[in-house]
Amino acid sequence: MNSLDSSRFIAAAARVDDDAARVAEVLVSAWQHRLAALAPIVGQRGVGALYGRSVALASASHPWLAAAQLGVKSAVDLPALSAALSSQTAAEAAAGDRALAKALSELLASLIGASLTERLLGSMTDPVPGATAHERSS
Amino acid sequence: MSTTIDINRLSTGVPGLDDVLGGGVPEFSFNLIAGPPGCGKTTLAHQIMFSLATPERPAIYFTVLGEPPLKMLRYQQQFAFFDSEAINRRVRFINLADDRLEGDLQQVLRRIVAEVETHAPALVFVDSFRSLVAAEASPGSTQGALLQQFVHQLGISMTSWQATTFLLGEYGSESDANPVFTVADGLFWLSQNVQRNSMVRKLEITKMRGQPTLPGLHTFRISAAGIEVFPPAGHTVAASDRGNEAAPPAGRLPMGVPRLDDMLGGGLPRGYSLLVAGPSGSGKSILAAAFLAEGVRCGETGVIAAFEQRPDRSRNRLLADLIANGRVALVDSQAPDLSIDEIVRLLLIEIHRLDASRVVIDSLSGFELALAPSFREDFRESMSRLVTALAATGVTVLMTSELEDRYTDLRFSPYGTAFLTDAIIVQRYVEVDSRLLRMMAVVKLRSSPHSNDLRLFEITDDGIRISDRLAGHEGLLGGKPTTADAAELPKTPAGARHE
Repeated sequence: MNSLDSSRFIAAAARVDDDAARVAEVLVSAWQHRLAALAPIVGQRGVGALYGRSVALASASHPWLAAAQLGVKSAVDLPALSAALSSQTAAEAAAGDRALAKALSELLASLIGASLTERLLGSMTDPVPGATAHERSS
Repeated sequence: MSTTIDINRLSTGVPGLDDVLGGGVPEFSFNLIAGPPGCGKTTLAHQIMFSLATPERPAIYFTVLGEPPLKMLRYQQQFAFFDSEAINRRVRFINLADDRLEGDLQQVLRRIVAEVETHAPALVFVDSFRSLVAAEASPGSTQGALLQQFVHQLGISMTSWQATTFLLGEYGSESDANPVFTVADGLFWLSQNVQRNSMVRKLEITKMRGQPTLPGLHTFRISAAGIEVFPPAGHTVAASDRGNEAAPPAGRLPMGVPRLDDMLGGGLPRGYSLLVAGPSGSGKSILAAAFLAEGVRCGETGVIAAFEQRPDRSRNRLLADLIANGRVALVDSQAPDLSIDEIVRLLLIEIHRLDASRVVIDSLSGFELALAPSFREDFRESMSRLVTALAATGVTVLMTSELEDRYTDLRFSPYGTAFLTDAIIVQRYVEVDSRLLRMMAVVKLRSSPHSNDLRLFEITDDGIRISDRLAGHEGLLGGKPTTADAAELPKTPAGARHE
């Protein structure tokens, strides 16, 4: 799950400012890219459904994540995710983010297999703002 | 200097399909793949896409309102042709559901054109184009007109962008969307025919501009490897074995049964088809095995299509050994719903692989049962195609046929197929001296003199042993011969007589 490991974003954020809002901003930005790369293949509604299910799964271990997608929505509510992440400490936000990313990855893998999941998710993590070449290799 | 254009034909990567298409799919053509749900449209499109797409000639697969993309990827990757590594490299999936739900057909078209301009694909697939307009119900315009307009515009755009295009659509019958079909260069029609417990899939190229396709319905099968189309048996042979046709085989083949060659006037003429007909247990399969074994002894190879029982060591050791040694190939299709074209293809593959000269089909009765019910109705015609296809390769064919013992009439084949073969050997049981004996005769050998003897034979551990003519008896074919002279005892095979 290297492609979904958010530690590098956290590292980037922590160096700038150990502030929950900043961490949330970096994490949400990463999610934006992830979901944007999935959207052409499954459509916005498809992405919304996958994201909603991932939030539901990850909320089991991080109940505060439930606020990231309230109700049955066809579109992804990233401002809600940002608000939920901001309400946590940087460490807890990062842990919740990892759980969410893991849930999405495992959900996709159960549907289309690990290999194709890796292909789809792996192809969309590179252009993440804040993750420099140095951070990617570290 | 020629001013006409040479159309490049793309090999589809679907076994047999290029033959049916007349060489492949014309480059930049605009094609429809139509048929009812579940007939294999999406699988065919994926197989063609993964085969044709390269990094230099990428493909875009647009999904619309039909099958959810995740489901499609989930199931399509079960096929061997699916390559996960190709996704987002040489193959790109783009979902148009949002454009369709939020906008009109024009927005969908704009999105398709925009994506094609961005990625410059050589191949474009739209699955399914009919669902694009299914929900459209604007006043004053019928679905058909909308669809035709959409397809027409799409066709113009894709051809201008030099993209070979495939639209997939659900259609129950060919008559319900004619206006759309006129726009297309090529029309692939898939169907499935269910009869009792069997299902037969068929493909028809109802249209392909600029090239001669093979007319009619062609069976195809979907397996883990993907789709395989079975072109008509005769065509496959005509394309691959013209050399053999030019040089008709000569000479005679020994049968591997002592004295039978004499009865045949010196062996079975090479390239002939021989029907061995007889009741259950009369020794047809043993004769067939001896025929193959004799070929191997003479340095030849053979192929056997076994439809009744798989040759194993306990039943037919001789044959099992030949198969184990690789000198005889076994076509052992357990697949239900066989078509003649499929079995001919399987046979031809093995014949070419081993460069085989002898082929056995054991038996036609089992073969008929293995065929899908829809093919049994025209079994005679199918048999004709089979015999023609095999004969064209130059092989010598031995077919066995179960023949119900009837002593009121003389028949050689339960299918009325006797006229198709060049030679016929019939086996029967006769009652002689309160014993059930076996009898054999050559009843037909085209363009060749042959024995007209009714010979007794027995089956020993060493195979078939043919004895002399049963002299002094008449009415043998009635099953209960009478002695012409009551004092004369029948000459039965040595050792076979019960003392």
